[in-house]
Amino acid sequence: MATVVTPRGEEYVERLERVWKPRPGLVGWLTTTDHKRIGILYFFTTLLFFGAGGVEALLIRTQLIGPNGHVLSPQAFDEVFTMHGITMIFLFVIPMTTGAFGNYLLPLMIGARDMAFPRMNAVSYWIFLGSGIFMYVGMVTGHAPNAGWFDYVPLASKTYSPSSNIDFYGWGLIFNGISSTAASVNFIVTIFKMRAPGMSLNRMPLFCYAFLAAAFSLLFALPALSCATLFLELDRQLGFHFYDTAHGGNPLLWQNLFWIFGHPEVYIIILPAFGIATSIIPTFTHRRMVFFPLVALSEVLVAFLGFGVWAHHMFAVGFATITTIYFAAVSLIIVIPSAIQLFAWIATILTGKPDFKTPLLFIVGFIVWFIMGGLSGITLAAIPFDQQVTDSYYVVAHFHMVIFGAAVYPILGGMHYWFPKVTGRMYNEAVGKLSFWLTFLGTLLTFFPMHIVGLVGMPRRNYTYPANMGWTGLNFTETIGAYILASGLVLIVLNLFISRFRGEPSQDPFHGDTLEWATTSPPPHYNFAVIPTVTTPYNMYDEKDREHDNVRLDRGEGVLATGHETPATTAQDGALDEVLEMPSYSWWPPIVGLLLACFFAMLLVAHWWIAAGFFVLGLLALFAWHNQEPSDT
Amino acid sequence: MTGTSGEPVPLGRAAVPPGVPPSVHRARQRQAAPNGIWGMVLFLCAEITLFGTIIGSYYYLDFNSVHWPQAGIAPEPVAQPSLATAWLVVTLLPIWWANRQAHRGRRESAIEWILFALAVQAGYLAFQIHLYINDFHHFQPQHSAYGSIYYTLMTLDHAHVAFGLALDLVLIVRLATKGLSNYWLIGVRGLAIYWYVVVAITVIVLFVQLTPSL
Amino acid sequence: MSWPPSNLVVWFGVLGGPVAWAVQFVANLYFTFAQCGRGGRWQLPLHPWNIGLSVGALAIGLAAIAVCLRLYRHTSEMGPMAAIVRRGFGGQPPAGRIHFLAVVGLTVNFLALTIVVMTGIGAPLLVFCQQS
Repeated sequence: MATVVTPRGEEYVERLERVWKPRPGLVGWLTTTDHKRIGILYFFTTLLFFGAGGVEALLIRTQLIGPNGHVLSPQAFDEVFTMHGITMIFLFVIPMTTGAFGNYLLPLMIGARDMAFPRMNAVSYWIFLGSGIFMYVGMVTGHAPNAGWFDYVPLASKTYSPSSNIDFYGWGLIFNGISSTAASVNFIVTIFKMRAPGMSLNRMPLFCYAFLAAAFSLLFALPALSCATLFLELDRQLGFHFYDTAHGGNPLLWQNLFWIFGHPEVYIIILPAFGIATSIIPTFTHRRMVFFPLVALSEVLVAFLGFGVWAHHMFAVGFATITTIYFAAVSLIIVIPSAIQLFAWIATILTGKPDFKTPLLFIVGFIVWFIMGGLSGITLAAIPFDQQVTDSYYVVAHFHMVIFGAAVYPILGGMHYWFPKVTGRMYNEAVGKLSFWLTFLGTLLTFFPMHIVGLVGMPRRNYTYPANMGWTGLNFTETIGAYILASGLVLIVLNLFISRFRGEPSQDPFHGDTLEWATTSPPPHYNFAVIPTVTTPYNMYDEKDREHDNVRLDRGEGVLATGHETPATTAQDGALDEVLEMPSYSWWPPIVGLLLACFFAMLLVAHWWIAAGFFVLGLLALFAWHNQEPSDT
Repeated sequence: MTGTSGEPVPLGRAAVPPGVPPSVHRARQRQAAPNGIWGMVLFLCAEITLFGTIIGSYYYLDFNSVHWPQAGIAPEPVAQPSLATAWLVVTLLPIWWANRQAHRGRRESAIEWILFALAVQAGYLAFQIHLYINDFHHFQPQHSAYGSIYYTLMTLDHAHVAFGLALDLVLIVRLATKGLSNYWLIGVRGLAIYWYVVVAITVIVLFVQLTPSL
Repeated sequence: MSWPPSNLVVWFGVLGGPVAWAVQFVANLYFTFAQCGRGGRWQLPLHPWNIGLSVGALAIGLAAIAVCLRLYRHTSEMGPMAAIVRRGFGGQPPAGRIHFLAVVGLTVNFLALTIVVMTGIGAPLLVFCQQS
């Protein structure tokens, strides 16, 4: 229900259109600081990486379709499964959820005109793009990372991996981490300080709680990864001995540091998916979310407790039980907030009037896979069982159920749900449903048999297997499933692509309950003609508030059209605090991104002084950036 | 702006009193910390976590070593690093005062106090580099895991101090050329918070550095 | 209680238990690393440390729960703030927000204390440094 514009209100809208008009053409996209454009850039870039990761997955499955496969050599297989993991985690799922969905939707959902730091938002994208290209240059040059996505030492040390494959991984992840750290700071400040007046913490959408939790996790988890990879590169490049037992180091240090990052990472992956699910369910069941505060706290609690479980990835390394017991306890308790959310979602669907359109179908699919993945996760929290199945396909089944099934399904559902918002057109519902069922069947056939084949002993990361192990039929089924899954995903992309140009015009087909539906589809550059005020948690359901917006637009209250303006509010109660001037466009973000890419490229080839030069140039560019105050642009 | 329940929603655009810079007046009107300060605090949270991870790694390697320091390296002398760190702690006073002066609208005084702090901090860093080079003559990072973690921790700490010096310089130049705008007033407060945290981290790093000697 | 309560009181109620758990967790973990690491230079009374840290964390968590209960009663439908706090947790801040945070704090502290109790009882039953 977009704001209704009267003739007097029209004058204010025209002024906003003039002030917020973007630069045209390619220059406009390169210098943009508009969160919506940045979200779209993230979306298409991550979709490309998803395609690459998908091709890698199909190569793996094709190699394993039968015993003694020869599609890939052992060395190529190592590179392909490593790049599949790195691509899907660092270059697809996290930037798609935080970068694409988060950037596009968060300011709209909280009634803001942009993120808290628009230029930093832009530089996050350019750094992400640079880091993705950086890592894929390794693949193109035949030096792709090849020690698995968690890259254990001593395999990853210079002794056993002398060529530059691991360096693409090490420097690439530090590079990528800068993007995510900047993005997490932006999300946290935006959520706390840029909400619409009246949107106190108890009136904030659950989507925002999920993204807040993911952002805090990113902020506190990434330093551990940066530390681990920095130590690795210092060992490899300069002969340090962090992980070298012969000189007093400890290879388990890598494992600890990596998983201190790695476990929160999986919650970073899934929390935005929870947020998407909690947006879709109330809309398509026509009722409010059951247990609203418990769902909000569960989202944040899962992120917090996620920092205390990391050694459950290391139950088989030989820790004393008195050490592992702390992790086992938290691993069991962390199930509870996840279960609270599950019960809330299921209760909301059962007690509402569910309308099983494509977005809700994907969320139901997500619930099914999350339960299945969660159950296998609980079994893995039991130390004796974990020690039996570690490094088998049982583990592969578990994390694919939770990462693909439970993180990607809401992404697919969200793509359909917000497609009308972003494009102003409706997708084809029949094709949407068909693509869901193909995807669901493909997921079932690909990942369910992995539980069984893992329990009967098939280890992970082996490039082939002999014929007499009893694994052939299950692997064949998994590979067929993978191709069915791929066809479902391709159908989704085709449906959305064609609907973008030929879909029925649509503004608010589903009557969503959050503020992004209070403006036109697609939204104007300034998002809202009048900054909304809020008095309930279900902002769109409060018709009095929305009618009041029209009255205020007519009076010119809360239009903020003097410059690129948006309000800042207090963190807890959403009381209006001041009016901020926002930057409109800047060349500095892509310049800083490029300089940082050059810096990491020089580190890769061990040209230290040239790297230092690019670092200094990057700092100078940062200082020049701050020379341009937001009100100057 | 008012909400539907009649709650007043003030716009905070009261008239600026005479003699008060607009940026200072705006700062006084705010109920909450500005976005730039939130950004600085969150960035520092990441840095604190980074140092926490490195210090955690230090003790992890320590606990898994039969001897610490390893390879016959002598423990650090206590006096010189402690005195140097005390010197750095003292510079928090001029930084704190500079921030206060800026928030009273006294631009020149703020610049002078930041300049004073910069001079003392630069002296601290020069002395630390001297100690660092001295250490290097006795053991290198390539000798042992102890050397590796010791030099990594010290280098990162000194790098944060060096970055702080660069921030001091940027603030001095900007305040001198652009004046006490809203953006740079927030910058002064951000600088102060940066130094509070970096100095606290340096004190903790000193403790870690001297653990084998205590 | 004084109204409105200070931010410190409210956020202690929400975060007291989880932060106490986090301190108990990290401290106990490092004590086990020190005692059970290959260096063997540390001879620590692991079990008393564990019990002490667990009791301390429990005390802080219970205090946080007490704060949350007080805030909840003050802002619930029978309490003094009933006129302002609406059903459904969407009430006008600060009372509505505090009511919401009180419910959050009660749940979060209970779960954090469960972990403290589990490890506080479980760890002292284990033999030092025996591998699993």
